[in-house]
Amino acid sequence: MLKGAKRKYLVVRTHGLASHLTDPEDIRSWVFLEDERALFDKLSPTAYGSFFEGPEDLLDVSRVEEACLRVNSIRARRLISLSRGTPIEGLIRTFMSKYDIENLRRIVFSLLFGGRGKELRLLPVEHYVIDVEKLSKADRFETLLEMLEDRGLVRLLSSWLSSSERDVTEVDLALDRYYMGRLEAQLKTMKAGKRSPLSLLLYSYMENMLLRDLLKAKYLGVKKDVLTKIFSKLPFRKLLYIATKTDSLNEFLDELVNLAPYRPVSIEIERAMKQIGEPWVIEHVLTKKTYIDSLRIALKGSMTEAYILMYLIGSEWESQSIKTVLLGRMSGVSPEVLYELLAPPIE
Amino acid sequence: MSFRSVGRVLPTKGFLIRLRERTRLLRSGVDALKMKRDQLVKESQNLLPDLRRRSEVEKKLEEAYKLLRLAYAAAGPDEMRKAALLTMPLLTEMKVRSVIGVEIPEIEIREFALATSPSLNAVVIAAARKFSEAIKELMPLVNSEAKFERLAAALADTMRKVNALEKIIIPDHEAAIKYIEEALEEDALEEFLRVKKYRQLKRGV
Repeated sequence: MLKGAKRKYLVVRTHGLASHLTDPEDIRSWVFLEDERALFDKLSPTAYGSFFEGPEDLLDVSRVEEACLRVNSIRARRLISLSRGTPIEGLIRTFMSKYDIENLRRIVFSLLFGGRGKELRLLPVEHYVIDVEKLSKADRFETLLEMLEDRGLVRLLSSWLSSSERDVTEVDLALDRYYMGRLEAQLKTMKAGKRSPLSLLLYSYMENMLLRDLLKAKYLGVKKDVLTKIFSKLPFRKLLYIATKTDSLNEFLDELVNLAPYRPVSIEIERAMKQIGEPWVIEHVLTKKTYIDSLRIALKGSMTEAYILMYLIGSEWESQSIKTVLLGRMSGVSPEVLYELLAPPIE
Repeated sequence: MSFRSVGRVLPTKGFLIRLRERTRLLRSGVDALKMKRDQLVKESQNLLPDLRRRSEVEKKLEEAYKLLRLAYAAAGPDEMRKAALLTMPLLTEMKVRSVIGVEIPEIEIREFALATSPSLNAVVIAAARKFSEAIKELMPLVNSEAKFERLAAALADTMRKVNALEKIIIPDHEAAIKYIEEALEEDALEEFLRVKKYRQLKRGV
């Protein structure tokens, strides 16, 4: 149970906020709605309703994308303002800093590969930890390094820049690892016990994130020594061991199917590979798993900070599902495919 | 007298000799063009197995577009824009090769590095991979189709020339030769009769 009254208040408020999340099964059923008017009627009472003035707005790609990102951001901001001055503020900021990292990644990519300017488009979210808006003005990689305040990030990017190979996958994975490191550090500052719901939830979140990175690294044929170098200090040794002993994604999936927690993921990805020849569902499968795992843990500690994080993860899955329904309908993907994509994980 | 493809015909021995030479040259030209035609047909036939692969490539492109639609739905255009930041330009080199005098363009991929990264959504990576496979298979097909089109145009041109030579120009020349021969024969006969008459007058017959 939470000690401070403010913490208790925050968790209770989050319960109230979570009750406004749309049921994933409801969203899933929207793929079969006849027209945009019916979909608009369903969306109007939700948090997304205020972003669309009429059914025709549901066909505006940029509006849909922005709405999905902004709803998440608004929810996180509300929690941040409610928790100001408590360790939970730091937790939420650190958790949401993945959007900062994502924007930083885009800045790095655009400086290294793309032409600057119009090609760089940052996610429309306010920064949580890293002032990416300021960083986006850097016109050279060296300037970016000078502008970065976080020493850890400067070290990471400088060592990558001075490496002979300058493998883009390495810096990409290293940024994810940096984020995981921040989560671990935040957990330490909160002094959460090893078996506490918050700790369990954050480690489960990191494990799913690592699994997603490893699956995609295997798919792209990233070198084993790169994986070892980046992820070796994480506590998920078994997962990393399997990733480094297997040579291909298929072998990796074959190994994962023998481990109970990863079996559903492996089965679902293998099924997609059989149907289309590519493991295109990795993101959806892992996002679903992350949501279900966090829900399971948070319900065991429903009066803890874990519930707040579960709410944020749930909100992300909700916006991802709504985005999939709207953009899927727009691009003419069959409702059956979308329905299957949003199905709960195989048990 | 005038023949369409020969021009103004002079019924002289000199012109006849020149015309016979020209006809001989035209006949050897027809033989050469026929050889070229056969070679062009052979080259075109060699391309048929490559051209038949079009349906395979179209299927691959269809699959790639299907995945692109899924990527659009599951990841969204913003993720595509991020993938575009990593994109390296496709570098190609265009060469022009000559096959039996027909200039054929050939596009060769010089550099095609598929830049993807683990932070990209898997469905975007999958779509990018499918497209890169399709493009790699599309390039030889593009070359074969361009070659076939040029060869077909050259073949039609050669056939037209052979037909024109065989059906119009050579018959015209032959007709002109025949006309000159007849005219010269008539002249010779007239001359013979004139000489005969003159001899009779001289003898006082």
